Amino acid sequence: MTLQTQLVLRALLEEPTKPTYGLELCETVGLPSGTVYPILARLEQVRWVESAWEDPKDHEQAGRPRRRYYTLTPDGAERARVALAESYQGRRAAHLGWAVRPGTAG
Amino acid sequence: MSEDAVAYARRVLESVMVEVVREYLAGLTLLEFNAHWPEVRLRTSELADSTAEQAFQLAAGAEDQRENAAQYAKNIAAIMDRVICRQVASKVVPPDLVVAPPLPRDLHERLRDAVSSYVLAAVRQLADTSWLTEAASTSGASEPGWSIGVLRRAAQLLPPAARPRWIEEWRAELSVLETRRGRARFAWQTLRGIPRMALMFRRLVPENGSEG
Repeated sequence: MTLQTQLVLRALLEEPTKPTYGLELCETVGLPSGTVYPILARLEQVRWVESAWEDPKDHEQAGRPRRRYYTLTPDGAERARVALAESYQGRRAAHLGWAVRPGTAG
Repeated sequence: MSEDAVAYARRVLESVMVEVVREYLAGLTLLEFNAHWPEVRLRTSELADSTAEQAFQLAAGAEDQRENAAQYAKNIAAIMDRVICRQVASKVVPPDLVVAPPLPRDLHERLRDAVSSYVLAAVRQLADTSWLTEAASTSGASEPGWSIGVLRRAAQLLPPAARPRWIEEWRAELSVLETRRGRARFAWQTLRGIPRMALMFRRLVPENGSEG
């Protein structure tokens, strides 16, 4: 899993049930739209994320076109947590392996 | 010819080539991949630089020059083939001594076919030059209409079934950006991701849902 994907998943996990739109996500994670949209498309394909058009009342009231909102699926949220935890453990193990050299520990 | 148009052609070509190369280098171990990726990336970038204008000119008459475009794609594929072979081979042999492609034949052929296919798709996408040259030379090049027009054209790389949804989504995002600079930046940044999305969709549905 790329670092960018991890950033997107972390942002979505902050409030798993809160729908967010692409531009908002770009600003939250600080990544360009050309990076975030392919990640969202892929997450949607594997059903970690689901998307839906904004309620007509909301965008008509705001006087703008309807947005596409993304939310983690329950299964996706669980898988994302596991994937991020594994990624963290992997980095931690690599870090410890690098820091604790043979013959220097203990 | 507009510099913006060539720059765009270059970006499309580079993105496509990088994605294809990345996919086909996936068979290497992580260590090997990391060792060779920066050089492959650099070569790909140089190649996109040197071929963007040619691609754009070919695309300008794509209807009349479909044969030329196909030949061009084959030439690019052959160059990419050599670049990658040299990279892979250089892990065991000094680069200046590499003379034979070491990749297995089937991988070699798949790589060539994939690059051909995607570069040709990119060239076809660039075929409609009028919008690009006109748009780039227009003073209002950062108006929402211009930005969504660019994205709509670029979305031709996506499978037909996926296009309307993404175009509508990007239009909605553009509509809330207040500055020209913001809209132009969003459009250009999104453009860079479209080839990656196209590859992803086409890998998922290699036969159906794509124009081929």
